[in-house]
Amino acid sequence: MNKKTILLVEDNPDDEILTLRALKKDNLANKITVARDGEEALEYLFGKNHDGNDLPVLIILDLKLPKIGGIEVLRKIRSEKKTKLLPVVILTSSNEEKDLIESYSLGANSYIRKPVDFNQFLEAARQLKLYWLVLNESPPVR
Amino acid sequence: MLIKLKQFAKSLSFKVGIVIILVEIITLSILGVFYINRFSIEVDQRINHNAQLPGLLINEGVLDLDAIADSEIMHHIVGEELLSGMIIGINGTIYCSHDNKFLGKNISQIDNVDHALLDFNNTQIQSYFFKDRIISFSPIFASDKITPQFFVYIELDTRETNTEKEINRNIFILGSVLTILITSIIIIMVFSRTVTRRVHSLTKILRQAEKGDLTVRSNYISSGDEIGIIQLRTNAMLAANQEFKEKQIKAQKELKKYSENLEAMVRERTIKLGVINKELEAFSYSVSHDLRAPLRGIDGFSQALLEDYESKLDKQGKDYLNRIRSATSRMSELINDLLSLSRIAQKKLNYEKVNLSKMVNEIVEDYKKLQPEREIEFKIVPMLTTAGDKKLIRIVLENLLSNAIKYTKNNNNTIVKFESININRSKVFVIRDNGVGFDMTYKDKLFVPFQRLHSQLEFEGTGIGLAIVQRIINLHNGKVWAESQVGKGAAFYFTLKS
Repeated sequence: MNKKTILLVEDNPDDEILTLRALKKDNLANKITVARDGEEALEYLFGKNHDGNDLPVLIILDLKLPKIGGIEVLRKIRSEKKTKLLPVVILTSSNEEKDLIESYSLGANSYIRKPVDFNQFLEAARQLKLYWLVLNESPPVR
Repeated sequence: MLIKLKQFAKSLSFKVGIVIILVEIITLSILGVFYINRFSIEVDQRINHNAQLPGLLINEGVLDLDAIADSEIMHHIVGEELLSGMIIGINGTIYCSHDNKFLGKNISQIDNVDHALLDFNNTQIQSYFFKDRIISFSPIFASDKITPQFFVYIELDTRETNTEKEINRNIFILGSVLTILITSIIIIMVFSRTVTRRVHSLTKILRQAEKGDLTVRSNYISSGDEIGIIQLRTNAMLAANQEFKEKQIKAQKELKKYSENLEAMVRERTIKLGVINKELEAFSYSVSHDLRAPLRGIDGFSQALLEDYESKLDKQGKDYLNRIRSATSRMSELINDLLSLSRIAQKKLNYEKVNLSKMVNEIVEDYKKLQPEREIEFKIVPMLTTAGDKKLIRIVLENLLSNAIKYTKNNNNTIVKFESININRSKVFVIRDNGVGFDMTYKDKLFVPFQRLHSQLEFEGTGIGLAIVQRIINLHNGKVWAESQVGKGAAFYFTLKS
């Protein structure tokens, strides 16, 4: 299980470093793969170079992404048979009601707003990890 | 036919006709009484004169007493109506008569004579009128012309003169009736020609005008009479109305054109406004997302520096980094406030009944839990209700109450009141405190976003609360204002309209 990958979809390099730092702070052993836009994320999940074994255990998805937006990525994930049960956590700056509603109605497992205060961000990341990687049972891989 | 008669019975001509007939009947009746009476008197006088004539002639010496018995002479003098003629002595003895069988007899012995009437002591001529006869009893004087020697008794038949009177009366009545009929017909015709027809034509014109045709005019004849004046005024009125109607139609056309223009303008503006709104939404989204990201970087890396390079930083370095962090946190607060302000402006109101007193109580209970160390006396008037958007009104009350609590933090005994007053018959809600208050010179700056009357050090805050309050109140078509004196507390008033 520790070998399993977390897919972080994040276009902002600062946020990427900070998120990775936060996730690693508690000695997380998971491999973290970063996709820098929606296209890259979809390529990682559905591209020819990857088979079912490489599916991540958790996807952390930003909404505002270049090329293909986070909402579109989520829609694609939920519409494909092999990925539709993957836990997806939305991690975004937006606190627009419509983003929240859209994410949940498309089947996001969690919606976390990136706080400006990094302490809060750390706490959020810690909770995320604890819940999705330690407590939660992953769906069976087919 | 019956309807026409009924209409005629109601017409002015008929009424005038009736009046004229009545007047004529009264006039002719009065005239008739005088005339018929006069005629009857004349006839009576004539026959009376005839009856008295033999007496007069004897007294004049023109006629002998014997002549009374001579029917030829008598008929010649008094006429064919003679019934009897006698010369009677003062003792009643008949000396001379048209009928020889009366001679020598006393008048009282004769059946046909009403002898009780005859007065032999009277020296005046006596005349007695009966239904169909007249009796004249004239004294014949002696040579002294004072003492009566004989009386002449003349009785005349008046049946013929009565008939004459009757015929005369009938002719008069017939003439009157004919006169009445002819004059009334003539008058009705003349009246109809001069009044009724003109009134009818006027009525017709007015009816046409009533139906909307204001171009019709009465054929005005300058007769100068009242109807002529009515015709003239009607024409003037119709002309004025026509002018007014034309103006009205013109104005309506202009108004329609204007309103069409206005509609087009409104449509255009609405589209533009929609575009602006969309842009504003995109802007809000962008602010929410993009402005926050660099801040997170600044704060995150400051924190990383503080944690990962703690040993390499001296006290001042750490202080600087902490200052960077608190500045970013304040920037983040400002961004949040800006966002909430712009979101409220775009909100659609969801009107419902709101119990303000209950809401104030709930907010106050929350504050008591958050700041249990503060001792505040809340005076909340119960059951103050209004209509409005519950969520937004709650934001208003939260802001005003949090201000009241914030600006009384240096007080020894704090009192915060919620009540309502009536100003010009409209309900005004008030939140009062006995805090630091503010200088009324700056009251206009209170509601401007990010404008503050106190420093961040004295009282924390971004200056967005009252701007949000004003926006929400504006959305409800209400008003919000404040009154205060430095050091004597502040009162915030607001009204809400449905």
